[in-house]
Parts: sequence; structure tokens; C-alpha cells
Amino acid sequence: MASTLLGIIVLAVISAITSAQRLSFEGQKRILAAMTADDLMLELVTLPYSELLSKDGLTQSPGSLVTLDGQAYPDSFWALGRTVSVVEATMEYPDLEVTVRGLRVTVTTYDAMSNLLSIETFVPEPAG
Amino acid sequence: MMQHHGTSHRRARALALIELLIAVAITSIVGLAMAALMTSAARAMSASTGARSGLQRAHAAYTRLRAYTEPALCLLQHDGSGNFAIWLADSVPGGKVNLTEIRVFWFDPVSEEMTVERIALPDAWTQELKDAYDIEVSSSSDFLALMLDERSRGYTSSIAVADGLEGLLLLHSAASDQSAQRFRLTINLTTGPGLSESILMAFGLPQHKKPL
Repeated sequence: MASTLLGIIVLAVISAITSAQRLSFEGQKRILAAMTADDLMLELVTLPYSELLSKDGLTQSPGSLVTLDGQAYPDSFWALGRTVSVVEATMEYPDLEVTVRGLRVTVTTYDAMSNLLSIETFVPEPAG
Repeated sequence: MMQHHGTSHRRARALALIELLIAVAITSIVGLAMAALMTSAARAMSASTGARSGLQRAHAAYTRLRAYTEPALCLLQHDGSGNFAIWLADSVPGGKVNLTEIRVFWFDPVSEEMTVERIALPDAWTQELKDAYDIEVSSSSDFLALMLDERSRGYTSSIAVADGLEGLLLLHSAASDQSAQRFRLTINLTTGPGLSESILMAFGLPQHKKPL
């Protein structure tokens, strides 16, 4: 009886600690995911418009994140991967009767299980 | 018969004592194991909290830095010790860097802080005097020394950008600082006693242009 009770208590404690650790890890992963998505978007928008479309489909699997210039991310980012989508799009401004052509750039960060977050921006086609 | 009964009673009491001793020993072992488990769990939680707090600080620093780098025109200079200068905006049009357009980021390894410093001319000065002081600076200047010079005159102000930094390194892949459209900061964050975490932050300068 005593052994069973002790076992239950130990299991409960271990389970609570594991859950707390998992939640904490997920929280850390979300912070890093937001940073890596922002990083890549910031780098992408520095590229010439003509080069941007070539980045469509760019994928870095979990544990192999690198900057656009090829620097590897440190081990803290081991659980994260990211992918880029670049598609042609137009933005309509009916009130102004203006249509702007451009590229819709989406960066998605994911882990082994699922997508964590996506950010999107519209890069207008340069005039001329 | 009576003697036999007495011996049997003493044996039963002795057995109870042994049982009690075994129970106490088992309880002690289990108690110690629980204490060790709780201690290690507390240590792990503390490390985890430190890491999360460190990441939150890193993210806050990243957001603050982006507020400068996103509108910035150019990375003017960096010195390899984590100090760097940016051209924030061409607010005095002309394509040249004016004093008030410079922001210098300093990394102090002693206080483990990163600060940003700018020219702050005295409020008592007239706008004409301020405009006259806000001279154009050559693109080949030593912008870090220039800010130190202004600091010695008392014409700068600083705010903290990040703390708890063990190390900071700026890298880019361009031929020169001023040609870099993208740069990276590798920072080592203190996350607890004797613990640190390495974070990479990438920045882009979408409005990039070199000063004349």
C-alpha cells in the first residue's frame, strides 16, 4: 500500500516536472522561431527584386539553419527549420483605382511536428 | 510452558523492532531519492527559467536593434569588439553623413551591456546653433572615435539596448562595412550562474546606400 502510494507520488511529481519542462521548451522554441522567421525575411527584402523569385521553395530543415550569406545558426536553434514561398501577386486599391504588382514573400518556421509560425510581406515591383 | 510463551513473546517484539528498522531505512532511502529528484528538478527548472529569460532578453534586444537597422542606410564601421556605427537616416539631405545621423552601438564586456549612443546637443542651444554644429562627416571617418570625442564634450546621450551579454561579434560577407546590405550579430547570453547560450541575429538594410 505504502509502496503504491509512493510510486504514485513519484510518478505525479515526474509527470508535473516533465510537463513544465516541455512547456518551457515550447515557449523557448516559439521565441526562436519568431526570431529566425524575422531574420530570413529581413535578409530576403535586401535582395534585388529580380533575385527574389529564385528563393521560392528555399527550405532549411530542422537543425540546418543558415543565413542567406551561409553562416550556420548555433545549436540553440537545433529544433527549427524554415521555408520560403515567393509568389507573384497584385494588391488592389479600389478607392485610388490603383493596382500594384509585386511578390508576396512568406517565411514559415517549423519543427519536426508542425508549422510554428508564418510571416508575410508584399514587395512591390520597382517602377521603371 | 510459561518459559516457552515468554521466549516467543520476546521474539515477536524483536521482529517488530527489525521491521521498524527496515521500514525506517526504506523510508530514509525513498526520502533521500525524493529529495535528490526534487533538487535536480529544481535545478533543471532554474536552468530552464534562466534560458527562457535569456531568450526573452535576446528577443527584446533584437526588436530594439531592428528599430534602428530597418530604416538604417548603412553600416558605417565595426571594430571587431562588438562596437559598431550605423547611418540611421539621411535626415539632412545630401547623401552625406551628418553627426546627428550616426548611432553607435557599444558593447561593454565588463557590465555585459550593449548601449546605443547618439549626438544630443544642449536644449539651451538655438536651432541655428544646432544646425551649424551638425556638420557633414567624411565617409572614411572613424565614427567610433568621433562619438567618443563628442561624448568627452558632453554632447551625447546613451540608452541600454541589451544586458547580460557575455560576448558579441558582428559579421558580414561584404567587401567592406559600408557595402554590407546584411550583417549578423552572434551574442552569448548569460542565462544563469556559469551558463550561457549562443544566439545568432541576422539584420538587413533594405534601404541600403553608401554615403558620399
